[in-house]
Amino acid sequence: MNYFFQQLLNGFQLGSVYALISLGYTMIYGIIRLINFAHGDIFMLGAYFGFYAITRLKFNFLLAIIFSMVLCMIINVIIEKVAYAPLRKKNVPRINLLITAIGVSFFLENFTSLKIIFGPDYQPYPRPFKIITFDFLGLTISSIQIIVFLITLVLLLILDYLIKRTKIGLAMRAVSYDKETALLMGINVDNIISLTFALGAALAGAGGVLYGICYPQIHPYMGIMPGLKAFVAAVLGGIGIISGAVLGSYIIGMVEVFTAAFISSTFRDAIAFAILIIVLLTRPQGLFGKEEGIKL
Amino acid sequence: MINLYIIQIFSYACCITISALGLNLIYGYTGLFSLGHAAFMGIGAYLSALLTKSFSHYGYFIYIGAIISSVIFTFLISYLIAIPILKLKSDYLGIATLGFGIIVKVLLDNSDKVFSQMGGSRGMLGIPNFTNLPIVLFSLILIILIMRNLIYSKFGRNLIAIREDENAAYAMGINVYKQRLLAFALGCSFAGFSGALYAHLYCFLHPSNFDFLRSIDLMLIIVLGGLGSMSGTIIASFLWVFILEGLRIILPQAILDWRLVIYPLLLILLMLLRPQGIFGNKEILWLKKEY
Amino acid sequence: MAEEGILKIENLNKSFDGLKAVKDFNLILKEGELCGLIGPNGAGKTTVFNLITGFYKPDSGKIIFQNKDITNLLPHQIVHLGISRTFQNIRLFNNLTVLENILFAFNYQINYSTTESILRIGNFKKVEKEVKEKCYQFLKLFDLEKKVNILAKNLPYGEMRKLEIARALALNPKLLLLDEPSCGMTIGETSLLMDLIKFIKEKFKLTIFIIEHQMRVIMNLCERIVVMDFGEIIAEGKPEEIQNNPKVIAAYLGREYALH
Repeated sequence: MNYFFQQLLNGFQLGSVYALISLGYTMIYGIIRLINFAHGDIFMLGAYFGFYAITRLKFNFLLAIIFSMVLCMIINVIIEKVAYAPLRKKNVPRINLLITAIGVSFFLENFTSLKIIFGPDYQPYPRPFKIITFDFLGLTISSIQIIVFLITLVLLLILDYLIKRTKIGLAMRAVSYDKETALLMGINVDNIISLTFALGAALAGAGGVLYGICYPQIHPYMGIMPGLKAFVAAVLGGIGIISGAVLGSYIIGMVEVFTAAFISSTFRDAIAFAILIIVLLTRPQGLFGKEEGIKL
Repeated sequence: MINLYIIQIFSYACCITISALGLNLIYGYTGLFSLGHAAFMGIGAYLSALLTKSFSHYGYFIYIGAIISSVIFTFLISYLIAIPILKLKSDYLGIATLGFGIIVKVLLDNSDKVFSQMGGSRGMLGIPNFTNLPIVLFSLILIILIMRNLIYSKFGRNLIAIREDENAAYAMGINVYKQRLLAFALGCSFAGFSGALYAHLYCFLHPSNFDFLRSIDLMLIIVLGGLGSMSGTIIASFLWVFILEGLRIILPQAILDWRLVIYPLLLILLMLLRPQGIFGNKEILWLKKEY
Repeated sequence: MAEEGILKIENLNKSFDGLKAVKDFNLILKEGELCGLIGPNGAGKTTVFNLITGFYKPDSGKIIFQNKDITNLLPHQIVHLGISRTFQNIRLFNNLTVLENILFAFNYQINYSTTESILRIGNFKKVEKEVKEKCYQFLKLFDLEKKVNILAKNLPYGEMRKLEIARALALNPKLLLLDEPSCGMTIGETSLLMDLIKFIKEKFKLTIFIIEHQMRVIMNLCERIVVMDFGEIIAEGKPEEIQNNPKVIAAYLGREYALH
């Protein structure tokens, strides 16, 4: 029984990291219908920036997270303006945008693994705070888990406030419903899109640092699998829907941890995609999504 | 020695072209966004290798049998998978096929628990080297012929109609769903064919040869060549194989890793400058015909 | 005998998300008649067409065509039975040529096998040649034979409509459904359209069911008119009767819609 609850905690931890990545996917898809393959690599960059901040710049933990978030935001906005925006302007078919995203992803991964940049080897991640474990009702809770929960919670609350209670959030929602009309309403759609990329990157960057703290080995290709799974989580919850991404992430996190713990750890990757297939076959619009009809 | 090496690369390029043509049939001509194509190559490769290794005393005959079995098996399995999956909309179809590809890879990684010969994540060794240049060239020409004749007939027209406007296609008496199933299964069987050839070319298989990154490579090739253009796919496949290999030879050791940085940058540039790919949807020479 | 019709619609109902788009729709179309379907925007006319042609499934009710129950058939099956249609917002294959648009319509009547097409044996060459000939002949009927290689999207609007109608006819239907064919046309183009419709009715011996907004077209062409509003039939009869029907006038004027 204890083992079960212990895994529950682990699942919650993993789910939190996935949530931070997944939100970026879902927001970007919601706004420009792009599956941003490069998003997982922003997450990877976030982990590396955090690493750099803690080990070289000797930042404390919170400052490192903020540092990482800011850098990721800047990079993602640059990518958007240089690679995606010109294509959107030209009205190319969506496949081209997707391929560009794939190109960006490959570029980030391979550039980072060049020896003069970060190098291809696994880097052990520092833990710049004392790890205390508590015993609570027979469970062992580590301060890492608490920190992950708290930071994720804070970021989610900030995002929620931003989306639901500010004018900018309203603009974001408007653009994701109907870009043309939003444009006619005087919303600067390009800026909103850049902002969405920035927000998604910030969350992913934070997620990267947290991931590094929890599973302390990073490498340039670390973003691929978590990125894919976070994407699956977004689809599970309903792609384009923020609450869906969060719920989906926790479900995927839980299922993955439980599969590894109770079935076999070799199947932990496959289980997320098995869930994906089941969702797509039974309820493709996701848990919170609405069915789309054909307009004839 | 150099000649043998070039021949092997050329043969590899032929295999990739066969697979890419299959994907072009599925996506370029029918409009089905499939991101799991390499998985079907893997299924064909591993099945054929298993057969030739298990029945190696039959020599050449088992090779032919293995190839035929791979083609039929990938056709059937992709048809079955497609039945539920093709009911999904484009983006979701891509995601589902991606997921399928990953599941296949995980199954292949664990294959040694069922058939120890398959080697699991250690890879499968000792596959007899039956594939040679004449065989692979013959296969490529065969596939090109089949595809060309199919496209410029009733069936190709059905697929193009479906790609252009699904509802108009229904309104013209086309059984959209069934045609999609057939196109998908046929395209995947090309992949299975190519996998079987590949297995007996390099004589070593590893699940990572057929993971989703490889599926993405195939997608890149057909977009770069031009969707809905056979000529484009053929040329793009060869260019892609030879340029990547070529860079590996030309670049000095010190900056070898840069080829993996340059390649995506070129990709992005190409998307910006020529999004319709090299050929767009045009054909050249004998591949060009009226519908 | 009098109640026998080529198309019988019985108690058809369709809702979308709780909104009733078609309510208790009953209709019998007699073979060879030219019947019009009119009503304010949103009355449910195109929904009726979509239900007849199998693009939507009705919630309840029956559709019987030539004594066959087609209620739950798929669109392509209904085409094979002899009903074809045009769409309100023209669904041509825009990136294909005029010839290809018609050719693709003749496709389902071609019956060589896959093997024959791959190996190019047997009937293949003969059938392909015949079909292409048929296309040219067909396009000639519609004065489009000089435009065979022009992309559909580059045709003038009036000819796009004509091509769409031609394509629907290439399917060899017994019942043709036209959804607002005069939409977006000038007065001159509309006159040509009316002549075209009269011509095809004669030449192909069709039953035609036509949704229209332009009263001129409806009053001149149709022998019988059905009027819908809010998903229901509110009136039915000859053009003169409909013109003076108070319910019809209210339906239109009530929404400030001017009668031509």
